[in-house]
Amino acid sequence: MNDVWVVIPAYNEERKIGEVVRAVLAHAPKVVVVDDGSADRTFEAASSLPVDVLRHRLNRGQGAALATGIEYALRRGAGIIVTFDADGQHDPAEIASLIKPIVEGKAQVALGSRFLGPGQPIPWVRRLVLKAGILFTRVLSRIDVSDTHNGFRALSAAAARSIEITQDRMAHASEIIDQIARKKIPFVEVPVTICYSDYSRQKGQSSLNAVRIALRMILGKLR
Amino acid sequence: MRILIIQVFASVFILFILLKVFFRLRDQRISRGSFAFWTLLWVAGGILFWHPELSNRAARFLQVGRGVDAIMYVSIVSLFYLLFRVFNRFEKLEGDITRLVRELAILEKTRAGDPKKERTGE
Repeated sequence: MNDVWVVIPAYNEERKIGEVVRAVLAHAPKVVVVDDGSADRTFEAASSLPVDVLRHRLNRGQGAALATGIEYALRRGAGIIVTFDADGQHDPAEIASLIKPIVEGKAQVALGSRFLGPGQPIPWVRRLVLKAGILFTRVLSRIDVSDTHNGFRALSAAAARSIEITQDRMAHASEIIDQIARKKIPFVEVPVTICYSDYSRQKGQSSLNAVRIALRMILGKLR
Repeated sequence: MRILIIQVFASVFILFILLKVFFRLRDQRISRGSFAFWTLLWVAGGILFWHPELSNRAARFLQVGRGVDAIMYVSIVSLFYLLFRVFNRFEKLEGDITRLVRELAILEKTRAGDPKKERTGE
């Protein structure tokens, strides 16, 4: 597990970041937190922990923060990169199962999917929007993925280098999948659990935003 | 020929703008191409205020109804095009800013191999 790096993009997560990072550290020693120009003390909170912390001077979106973290991890010699959300939605205990297919050489990318495992209670509006997103991705990117907006994923260094994230904001999730499809990067899906707490629900993607993301994606493809 | 008030206002206004455009060129804040474009545009606009019947000629050429119609159509299409150009520039700028912010973040972290220190110093 030496060359596994966990990239955690964070925006205004001063309350949760300590807890999340400590939980991750129990499963992966190398972590880089990218503070995406938070207005609160996310950077200070993360800096007090034994992890690398980078800081965007201006808020540029999760996509940009992820790209920065991934680039940093690659420079530090990461062999496998795990992307992890800072709001406590993901379970670090599942990191091992997520990277397993990459370690075993079965794939270059492992995408976490909340729809593969045992059924979980998902707020129905969220489920509807997610399903729409899946259909949208299937049509636009011509790839069959069961969970298109899951920030929990693992990439081999080669895949990480090959995937270019240009969509700063939330459309990056779709962009990553789109590139996996276009560049024919071998990927697998791994069941993961998403913890929907009131906190993460409040911070998460508003369902209306999904439409905006869809439009951005379409425009991005037309460029 | 009667001189209309709007012709006076428009002329003064346009002269004022032409001066501004000229100064921009002199201060090298705009390119020569931009200068030529805007000067031409405003002079043409100015001329139309004094000889509105010229627009009717354009209308006849384009096979549109009235001169004013021709002006409207051309203006709207041009505006949409300019808007499109501005939008593209904006998008590019956003991308540039992001690239800089990202680069800066990594530079500050890896500067001289030191971990980023608080500005208050440690």
